[in-house]
Amino acid sequence: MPLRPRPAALRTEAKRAPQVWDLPVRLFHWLLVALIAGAWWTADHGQMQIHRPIGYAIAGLLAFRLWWGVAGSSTARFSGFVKGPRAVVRYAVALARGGDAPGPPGHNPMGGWSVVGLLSLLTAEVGLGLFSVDVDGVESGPLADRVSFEAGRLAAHWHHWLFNGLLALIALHLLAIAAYALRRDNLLGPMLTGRKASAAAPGLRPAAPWRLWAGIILGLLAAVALAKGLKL
Amino acid sequence: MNRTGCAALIALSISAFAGASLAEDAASIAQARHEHFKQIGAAMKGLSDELKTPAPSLVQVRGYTQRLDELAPQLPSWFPAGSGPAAGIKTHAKAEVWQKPAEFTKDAAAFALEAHKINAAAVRGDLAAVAAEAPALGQTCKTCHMAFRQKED
Repeated sequence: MPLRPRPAALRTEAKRAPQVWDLPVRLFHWLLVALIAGAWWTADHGQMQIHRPIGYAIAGLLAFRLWWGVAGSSTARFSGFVKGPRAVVRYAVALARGGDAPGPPGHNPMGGWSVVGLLSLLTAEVGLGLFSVDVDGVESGPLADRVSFEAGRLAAHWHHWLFNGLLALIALHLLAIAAYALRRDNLLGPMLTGRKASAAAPGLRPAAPWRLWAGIILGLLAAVALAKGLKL
Repeated sequence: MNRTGCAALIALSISAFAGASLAEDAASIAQARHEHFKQIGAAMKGLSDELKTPAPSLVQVRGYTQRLDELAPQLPSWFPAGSGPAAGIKTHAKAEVWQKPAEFTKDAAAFALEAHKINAAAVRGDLAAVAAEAPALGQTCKTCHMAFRQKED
């Protein structure tokens, strides 16, 4: 079967636009969206036998993302987007003045801290879930056998409350995306396609393939180890 | 102050005092109830933790099931009239506990029965039967909590 040629405009646009997010970052992002939604639903409906595996998957994704944050492509690295207060203020001022403040491809100085906040909160949330015990002492996280019933209940309460904090940060994240959209800066498209026409060329510097494999293995190991309660 | 006024004042202060001490009683009853349920929760958790190990210890399992078998039949006595949310105290017990006593007693009896069955299996030394019984026991907690316990959030 002959390949249907893509419209020229699309082809050149896709080719010309610099890449800002690599595939692992985009997959991480969208898997996380689905898993957080699933975790929320299963928690609300008492489906703990599904809630737990979702938690292990999120833990694996987080392990991968932390690795990718030190070993991944240039826009995935924390060293590239975690900026000091001066840079954040400078960016915020430029933004308030309506300037474009383009900078290098990747997270801007404010968005970088949003990523740090979301990742930290999620890590704490998963960590608390591991030790959580339900009110009946029946359902529990895989590490809850190492703590008392009372400590497990406390972890469950914090697990519950911290999720509200997570939802607040997610709401802020969505509001920011809407605000940029009003300024005709589309953030959603690049998270889908990986490319952004207005980004400074040549875009991100990709990471060597072995680093990706190492990250995937690390993420799988983390998920499996936690699922087994670290008893391997 | 005339005599009637004086008597009314005394009656009022006595009833206020009685009311306050009643609320205090209800609060301490609810607190004791809370402690009892924590003991049940701890035993349930201990049991399910033990059953999840590769080789559960019969001695440990028996300790937990015995505790549950002791506590479960007492459960209805932890809910005397006037110790519910109507007393204005901190409790997760729903008013339905006292509004639907027949259903509540039935759910409590189901728990006591399962606790007794699982303990009998543990006393026999039948760990497989204990493990098989555990989900039904846990279900009695959930069933009763669904109807009679305020969901926390």
